[in-house]
Amino acid sequence: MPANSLIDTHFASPSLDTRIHVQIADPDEIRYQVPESVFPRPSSESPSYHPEIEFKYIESPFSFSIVRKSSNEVLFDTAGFPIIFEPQYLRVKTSLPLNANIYGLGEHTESLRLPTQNTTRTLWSRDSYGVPPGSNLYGVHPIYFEHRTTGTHGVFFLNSNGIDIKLRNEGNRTTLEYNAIGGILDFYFLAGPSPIEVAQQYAALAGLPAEVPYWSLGFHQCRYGYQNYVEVAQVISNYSIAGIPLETMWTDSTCAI
Amino acid sequence: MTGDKESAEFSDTTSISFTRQPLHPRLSASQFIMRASAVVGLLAFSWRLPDIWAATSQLIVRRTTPNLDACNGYAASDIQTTSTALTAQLHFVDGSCNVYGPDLQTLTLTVTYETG
Repeated sequence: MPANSLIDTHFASPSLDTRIHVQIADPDEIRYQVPESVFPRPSSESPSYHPEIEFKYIESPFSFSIVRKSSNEVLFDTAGFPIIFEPQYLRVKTSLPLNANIYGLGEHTESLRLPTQNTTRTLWSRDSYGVPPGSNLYGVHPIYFEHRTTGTHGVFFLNSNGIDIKLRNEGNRTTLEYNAIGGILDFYFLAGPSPIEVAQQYAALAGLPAEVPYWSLGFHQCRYGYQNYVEVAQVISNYSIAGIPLETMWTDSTCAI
Repeated sequence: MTGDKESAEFSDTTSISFTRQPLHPRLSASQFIMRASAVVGLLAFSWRLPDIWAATSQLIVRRTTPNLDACNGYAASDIQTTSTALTAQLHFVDGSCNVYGPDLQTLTLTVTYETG
């Protein structure tokens, strides 16, 4: 195989519009939006129209859908579920295929593939003592991946207020409903079509993981509940005695790692 | 992550050994004070509880679950498009929505096609 074949594969095609940004806000924009200093938005309006996914809408009553252009497949559709925008209540609801394969909306202790029946994913950071099933945890990542046999796409909801996301089987379809208690409606739709490409498109939007400090790559010992510094010193000295290089000693929960 | 259950005996090569009691549930100082003060408060007012129940039962009104799908939503107007963007105004369609507060009357829709 020629040495440059891999490069040709990756860069031969023209850049496609793999992301659609849909924002519904108060006209004066006085409501809370996640600040640029916290979440810098990429400035990448497409120079020309090469969409992988398309935005379609109905004027009245207003609804919108996101459609995969190559297959005309509807990925997201609010028809039949009016958008509600009140000071402390925002609602957007979409139809999905029955038993849709939804992943994400972390952090949580649900199964990796979220159950589509009677599931409410609460996005609200908490230290969930005992880590019971079905709980929200420390982090909040309001993005889901939906896998279909025809492709994978992602939906990111840029809103840092408390959010409930309800998954329900209703008749011959599954529905996904966002309930937020503040902010605005700010969605990014990521075309995929492979799971890896959705992850790459999400990283292009949300940013790459921060580089970790060099010392964090060493061996860590971690536990909560040490009674005093003598106990901590004892553990450290035992590492020395055993000849195990200990880079970091944590004196609280394992969540620090 | 919390939820660690610890009761293991610890011994080391310098012949110090001891056993710790498990530390759960872990209460912070503020949680302890809140719980303690709640207990004290209940004890102090327990002789008046029937009165309090009688008073509050009249204040608490059962809220019926709103039917969100009965809301009429919005209608789009003033739609402006370019090849890679769309803006529009959304106007609230009158009706009895107001499920958790008054509906915003006007919204701005902005759609942008972006390269990843």
